[in-house]
Amino acid sequence: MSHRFTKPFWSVFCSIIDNFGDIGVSWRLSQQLATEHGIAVTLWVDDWQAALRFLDPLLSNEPNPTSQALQLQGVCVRRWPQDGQSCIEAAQAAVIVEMFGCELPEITLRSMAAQQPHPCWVNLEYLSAEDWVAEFHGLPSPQTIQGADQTVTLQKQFFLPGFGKNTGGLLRERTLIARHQTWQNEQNPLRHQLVNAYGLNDEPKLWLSLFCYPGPVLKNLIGALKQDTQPTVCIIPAGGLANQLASQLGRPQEPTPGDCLTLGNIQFLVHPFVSQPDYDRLLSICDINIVRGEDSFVRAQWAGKPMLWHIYPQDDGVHLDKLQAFHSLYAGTAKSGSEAAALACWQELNYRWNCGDGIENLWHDLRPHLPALHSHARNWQQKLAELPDLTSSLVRATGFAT
Amino acid sequence: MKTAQEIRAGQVIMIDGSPWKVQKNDFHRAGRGSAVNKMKLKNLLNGVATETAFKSDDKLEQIVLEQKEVTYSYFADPMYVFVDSDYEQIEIEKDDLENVIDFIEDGMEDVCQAVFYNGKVISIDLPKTIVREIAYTEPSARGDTTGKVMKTARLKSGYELKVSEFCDIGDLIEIDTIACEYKARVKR
Repeated sequence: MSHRFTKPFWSVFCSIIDNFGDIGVSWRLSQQLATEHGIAVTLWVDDWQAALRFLDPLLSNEPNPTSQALQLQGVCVRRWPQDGQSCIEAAQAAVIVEMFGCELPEITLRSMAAQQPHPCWVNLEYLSAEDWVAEFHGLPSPQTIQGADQTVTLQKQFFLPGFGKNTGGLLRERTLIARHQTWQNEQNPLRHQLVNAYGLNDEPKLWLSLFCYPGPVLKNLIGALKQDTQPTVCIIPAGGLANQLASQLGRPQEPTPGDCLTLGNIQFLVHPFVSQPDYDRLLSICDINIVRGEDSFVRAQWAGKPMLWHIYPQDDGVHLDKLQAFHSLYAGTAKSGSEAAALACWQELNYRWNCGDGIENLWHDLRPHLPALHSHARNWQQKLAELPDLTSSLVRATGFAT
Repeated sequence: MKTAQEIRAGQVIMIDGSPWKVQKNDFHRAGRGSAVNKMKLKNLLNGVATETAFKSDDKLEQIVLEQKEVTYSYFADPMYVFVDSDYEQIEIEKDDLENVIDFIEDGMEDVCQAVFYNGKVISIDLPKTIVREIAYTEPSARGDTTGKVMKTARLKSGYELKVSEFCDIGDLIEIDTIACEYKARVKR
């Protein structure tokens, strides 16, 4: 695709299916386009209330719930185009990005077809470590658009995130690795702030962050954690997951941010919903990050700390193939025998946990491997950082790179 | 209209006013229940091949082209001549026989499909499996009878392919014309 536009204005379309994964990735991309590439971006979201909840930690003032748009950190966030005028405005962008294959409004499509030149049109797909991703990345996708008086074929391009050089890469801000370095240099004081804030008695020996999907995996994880004999702290976000935890611990009330739930040697700190940079900092100072889906999964890898990944479960079980594809890639880069042994243990635990099995023994076996897993996580972070970041690759692919 | 997932190899779809034959259609699960298809396509008007991606629920216009059974008759430079059941001659250029030219031989009796678009023949499809005679191959050296050890053989057309080690000159072999691969030796 070659850039033939004079106004570097992009439209990013995000359909919020559930939770904050879609908007999380869309926001990161939009913000990076704006701040690092100087591109004016409009992020169109279909669930306005969910978008406001997601952006809330970044907002200085309470937004008007009836507003149609807000300007934040260089990005214009707008309600999904409903009327003809906003559909046409959305189509006047030089680049149209549909996040995760979301369906664009019909009027927008027709307006794109009527424009000369046609806008660059990109479908940014879900992340997967499977081999086929590299074969798909960059492929054209001719789309026939039925206009009022003629049919026009627009070329959409598939853009697939991934872990290899023949993929679109991963979202990574320019300063991210340096920020993690800084946070990890200040790890003890940062942890101490949390100890004081929550009024913990003992300095924990092991720090965990926990962000998995609700369901049996949480019960199985708690079953494993409660066996720990040393003081452990587990930071869990307020909301559905913390509610399930409280229920399983026999607490009658739903926990609120600031609450601390204790089970044996573990203290669960119920953390407020935080902004993406604050979540990055949290990942950076924990010993093990338990993450889910796509966005927190990628961020945990940038933190360079051991992690467990709760992949988004799919009814047909295809998620387990995707999980194993990542395991193969991640564990395939072991640099020593001790790392290989640690990763074998980690794979077994992560797989069994995602299958809904109990992991008490595997968790016990994993603990001595934490130093080797940490070393591997740092190496993996460095290896990924050698690849171009997703946003820069996307900008290049659309012809906007200077 | 059919979804990208419903389209099968061998079918023809219209894109931007041109008929494209689907040579391969791979399906993959993406995330959260979505799926994508990668198609290998050949433009039936100019022979250009390309690869494209679709969301599996993208709607595509499938077209059914006129086809007629024909058999190969002779080569009259630069045209290859086929005849139909009414002995009507159908001429086609070498460039339009790209996929099958390696298997065209004098005296072949395969019933082929001539494919027409706007009244003009645009391609010839061979049966999925054809039988050809090995014109030359090295003698078997290792006495392998499993069929897993392969060697190169040449057909009368000059086309070379891998065959089982136990095949000899003069043997008849079955060939998969889609994959252009040896399938088996024909028992006499």
